[in-house]
Amino acid sequence: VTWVGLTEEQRMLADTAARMVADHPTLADAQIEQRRAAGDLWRSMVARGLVGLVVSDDSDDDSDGDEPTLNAALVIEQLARGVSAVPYLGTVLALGLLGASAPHGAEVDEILAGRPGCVVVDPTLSRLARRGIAVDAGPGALAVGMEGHVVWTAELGPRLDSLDLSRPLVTAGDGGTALGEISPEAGVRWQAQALALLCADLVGTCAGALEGAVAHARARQQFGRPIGSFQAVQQLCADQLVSVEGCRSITWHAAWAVDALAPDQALAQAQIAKAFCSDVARTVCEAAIQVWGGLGMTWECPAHRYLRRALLDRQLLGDERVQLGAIVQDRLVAAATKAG
Amino acid sequence: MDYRDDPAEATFRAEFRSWLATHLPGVPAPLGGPERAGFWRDWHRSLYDGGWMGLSWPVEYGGRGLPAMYEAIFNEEIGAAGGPPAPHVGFLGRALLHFGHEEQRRRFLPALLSGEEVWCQGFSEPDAGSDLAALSTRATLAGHQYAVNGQKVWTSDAAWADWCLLLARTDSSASRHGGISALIVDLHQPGVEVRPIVQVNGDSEFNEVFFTDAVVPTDQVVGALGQGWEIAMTTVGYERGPVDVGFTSRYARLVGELEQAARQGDVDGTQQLEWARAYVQVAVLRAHVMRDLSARSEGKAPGPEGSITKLLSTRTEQLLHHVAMDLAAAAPLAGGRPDVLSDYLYSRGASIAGGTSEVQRTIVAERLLRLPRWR
Repeated sequence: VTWVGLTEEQRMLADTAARMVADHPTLADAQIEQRRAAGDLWRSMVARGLVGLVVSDDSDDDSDGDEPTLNAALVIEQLARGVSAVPYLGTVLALGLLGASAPHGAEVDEILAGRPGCVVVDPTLSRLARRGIAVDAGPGALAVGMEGHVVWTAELGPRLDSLDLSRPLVTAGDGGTALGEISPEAGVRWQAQALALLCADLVGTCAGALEGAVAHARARQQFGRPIGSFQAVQQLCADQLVSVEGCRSITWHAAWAVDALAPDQALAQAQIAKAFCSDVARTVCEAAIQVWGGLGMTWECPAHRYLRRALLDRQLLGDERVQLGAIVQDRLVAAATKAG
Repeated sequence: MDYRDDPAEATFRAEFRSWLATHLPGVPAPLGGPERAGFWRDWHRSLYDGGWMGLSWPVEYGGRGLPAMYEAIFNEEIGAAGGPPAPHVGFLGRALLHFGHEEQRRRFLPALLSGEEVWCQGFSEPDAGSDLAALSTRATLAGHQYAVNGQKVWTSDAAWADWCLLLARTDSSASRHGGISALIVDLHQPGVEVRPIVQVNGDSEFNEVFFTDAVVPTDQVVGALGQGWEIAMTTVGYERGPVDVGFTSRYARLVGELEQAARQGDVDGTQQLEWARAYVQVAVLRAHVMRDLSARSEGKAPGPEGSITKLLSTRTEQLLHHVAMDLAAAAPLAGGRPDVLSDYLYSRGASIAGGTSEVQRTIVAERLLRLPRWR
């Protein structure tokens, strides 16, 4: 039956991830020993098997209700909600490439055993590449990139000055090794999955930014009453929740499509999701700063950490302009050529 | 999670699609007047005779007892076929389904579904718009009937309606919200006068309705006396659902038409990107509505979350009509494409009718974000 919601198991998975994030200091808490905390959280995620969520289980490939991408999306949303510095997204993306090119290589086992992974993109951050910039490159991470249809490891170089305080950007150069070829279909599927998971990161980032701003609006008093009782503030916050729920709805759809539809159809749906989420995420995070007022302009306030994370997610593998351009190409230009 | 039709849904979709292929009206809806009312009545009758109305309504009142998701499929297929929007019987019917007495449901629901009897919603008044609880229309008990006095406004379809679901004050000593009851009023009586209002697009969908000692038998009170506010809130909860009012069928059709238009060689890249933005927005609304309807299939009536859906729906509608106007370029400004102009002007009402966007955001802020009340 057509049904769009989370199963009991998926609710529990999201709750577990949320609790694990809450049990460790994150960047949302500001001024804490974030790096060490991230290490602890990472180890407990590995121990719980959360890293392997997207590795398909070959033994029962016809089990319905198997939604690895959606499951990973639920975990990623919770991590982003706390601006967690855990290298989960990068690891899941790297694992996806490895699984499609060298599923039996030692690299997969290393990552499942707890070594973080990350992926390499070109300097525009909008395309997967063999050399350029490694994203979410945690300490000791295995960097995985692609050239043509060949998946490579890359050698990590100097760290860049990443605007996102929760996920390092590191120069990635030659010196790696070729691991194997990825089929065109698997490449398209990976692209769809990566876009859907970036959307999940944007959902969590926006949700976290809005929650923080709303909590502030409830507490902060001016004119003798909470600023959240003023309609100007209420309307701004309400508009952002509409955007966040829209992001969540389209992200669920994109994540579902990765595991349920043919790769090219899944990619078309993922582009729709990434176009929408990229577009509204910046607005939501900027609105959060506005609600925080002067505090929102300070380093201590978590608001800018959300905005920074959103800006990187937005750009990665193509912002809304790139995605809308792809939709135009696919549905208008190519269709007109075919018809003509 | 599965967004795809199951075999039963797929069969339903295929059957409805082939029915539509031979039953679509051959002409577009006339732009106004009695011809327009007649057009809608015929379309409604035709759908009903085909067995397509009241899909998610209980069988005993003329429905088919199917899950709410079938209404979404119904809307999608009408849109894909380029048909006129689905008749919006859903939200008024829900008031009777949830709160009506058994005799009321049996008497009124089948004819509402079939289009034999047309209903309107008598809620807003000149001094009670967003502040609906300020309404002052009175129903005074005299023997076995009520005498209704007062005025309603923005009453869609009243000019050709047979019945009105009316909110009136039955107890002036009770609280603002507690003194309101919901009554079923026969519009064919001397105490009722309907004056059409000419709208910005020249159409006259809505009206003023004047009640002067209009008579309502006591057995036409819906629910309990004083329950009117709750009934009204449930009704508008459904009215805010784009499937319940047939809006998703309009959006699906429009985005498809605009896709054809945006493919033409003289359309520049900026306009094509704007079309893509609207296309994305329609997809977001669709995914969101399916999430909504799934929650409803678990037995939840639409709550404050419906305001999020309405705000998303409004964004979608207004963006679509911007794109439609821009793609039509100068034509609608110089007498060409009056349909595009009319629909664009009508779309400005999306953020006003059924509760303004400002009211929706207040509901979202206070009831979902739990921000302190402003008053």
